[in-house]
Amino acid sequence: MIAIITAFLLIAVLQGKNLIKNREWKGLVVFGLLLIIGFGLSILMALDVLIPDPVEAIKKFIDNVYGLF
Amino acid sequence: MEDEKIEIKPFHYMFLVAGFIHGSHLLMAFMDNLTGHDFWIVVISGFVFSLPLVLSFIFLSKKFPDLDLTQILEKVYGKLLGKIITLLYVLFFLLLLSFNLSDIATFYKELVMQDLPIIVFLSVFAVLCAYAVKMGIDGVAKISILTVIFGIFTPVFTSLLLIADMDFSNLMPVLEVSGETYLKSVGIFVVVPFGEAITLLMVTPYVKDKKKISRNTVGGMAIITFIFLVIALRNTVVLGPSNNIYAQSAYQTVRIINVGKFFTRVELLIALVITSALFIKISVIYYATVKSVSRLINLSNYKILIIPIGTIAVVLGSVVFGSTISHSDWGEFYATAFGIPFSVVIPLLTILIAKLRKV
Repeated sequence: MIAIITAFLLIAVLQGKNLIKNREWKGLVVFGLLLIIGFGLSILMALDVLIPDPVEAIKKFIDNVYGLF
Repeated sequence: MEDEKIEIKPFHYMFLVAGFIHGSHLLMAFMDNLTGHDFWIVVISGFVFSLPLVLSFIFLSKKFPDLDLTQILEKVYGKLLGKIITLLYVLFFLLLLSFNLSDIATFYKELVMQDLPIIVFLSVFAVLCAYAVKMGIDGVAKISILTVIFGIFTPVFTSLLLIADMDFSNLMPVLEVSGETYLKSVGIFVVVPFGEAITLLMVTPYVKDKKKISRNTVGGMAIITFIFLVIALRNTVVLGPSNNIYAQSAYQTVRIINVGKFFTRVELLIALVITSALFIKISVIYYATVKSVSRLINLSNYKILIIPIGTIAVVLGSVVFGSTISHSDWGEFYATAFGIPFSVVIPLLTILIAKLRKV
C-alpha cells in the first residue's frame, strides 16, 4: 500500500512538475484525472476489493444482442 | 508540443505488421486445442479470408494518407459522431491492451514462475512497453525486424531439430474437423490476429512511402502466416493426438528436443519468442490507446498519458479473465463477436460513408 502511494506520488510530482512548468493546464487536468483513476483502482486492488471484470459485462452484452436475433 | 516528426520506413512497417500479428502467438495454443490436427488448414484459410479485411484498412489509409484512424473517423462521421466512435475505439484499444498484458503475465506465471503474484509480471511488462512508446513508435518498428527474424528462426530451427520425432501420418485424416468448428476457427483466426491490425491505422500516417503500404502490409501478413504454418505443422506432426492435451503445445513440442544431449531445454527459445512478439503487439496497442485518448480530448502531448493509462491497463489486466475457463470461453465464443464491430463493421461503414459523402 505504501509502495503504491509512494509510486503514484512520485509520478504525480515528476510529471506534474513539467506540466506546470510548461503551463500545459489541459494536459495537467487530464493527466491528474487519469492518474486518480489508476490510483483508485490500484488501492482497491491492494485492499482486495473485488473489481468487476469488464469481460463478464461484455459477454452479457453480446449474449443480449445476439439473443435479439 | 505538436506531433513530433516520426517516420517509419516501408520496410520497417512490413515487419511491424508481422510483429504485431505475431503477438497473437499465444492464440495458437487455444486454436490447436479447438481444431486439432487441422489447424494448419485454418491458418491458410485465415490468411486468405483476412486479405479483404486488411485491404479495407489499407484502402482507408491510402484514401486518408496523413490521417490516423481517429482523425479519419472525425472527417467521415463529423465531429460529434466521430468523437463517439473514437471513444469506442479507445475502450477497444484499452481492453486489447489489458487482454494482451494478461496473456503474457499468465504465460509467465503458469509456465515459469508460479509463486510470483501476477501483478509483478503485469507491471514489469507495462513499464517496458511504456518506455518503448515514450521512445517512439518508429523505434518499435525497427525492433520488430529483430523479433520477427527471431520468430522465423525459432520454429524453423526447432523443426529441424525435431525431424527425427516427426510423424506425418498425424496430419491424417485431413479436414476431420466439423464444418461448424472450421468456420468458427477461421472466424476467430481472421478477427483476432488479423482483424486487430486495425490498430495499425494509428501508425500508418507515419509510414514514409504511402504507395508501398499495400504490398508491405500483405508482405507482413505473409511472413506471419508462414511462421504460424510452420508452428502448426511442427506441433501436429510431433505431438500427434496429444497436441490437444497441452495448454501450450509449442512449449511442450520443443521440450522434447534432446539432440546429442547438447541441444536441450530449448523451450526457453519459445518463451523468448512469445515475449518479444507480445512486446511488439502490446507496445503498438499501448501507443494506439494513448494516441487515441489524446486525439479524443485534443491534447497535443500524448506522452503525458502513458503512465496513467498504463496503471489502468495493469489493474484491468489483473482483473480480466478470472479463470482459464473464462478465458477459453471468451476465445471460443465471444472474441470474434467483440472484434467484428471494430475490425469489420466500422471500417466498412466508414469506407461506404466516405464514398457517399465524397469526403
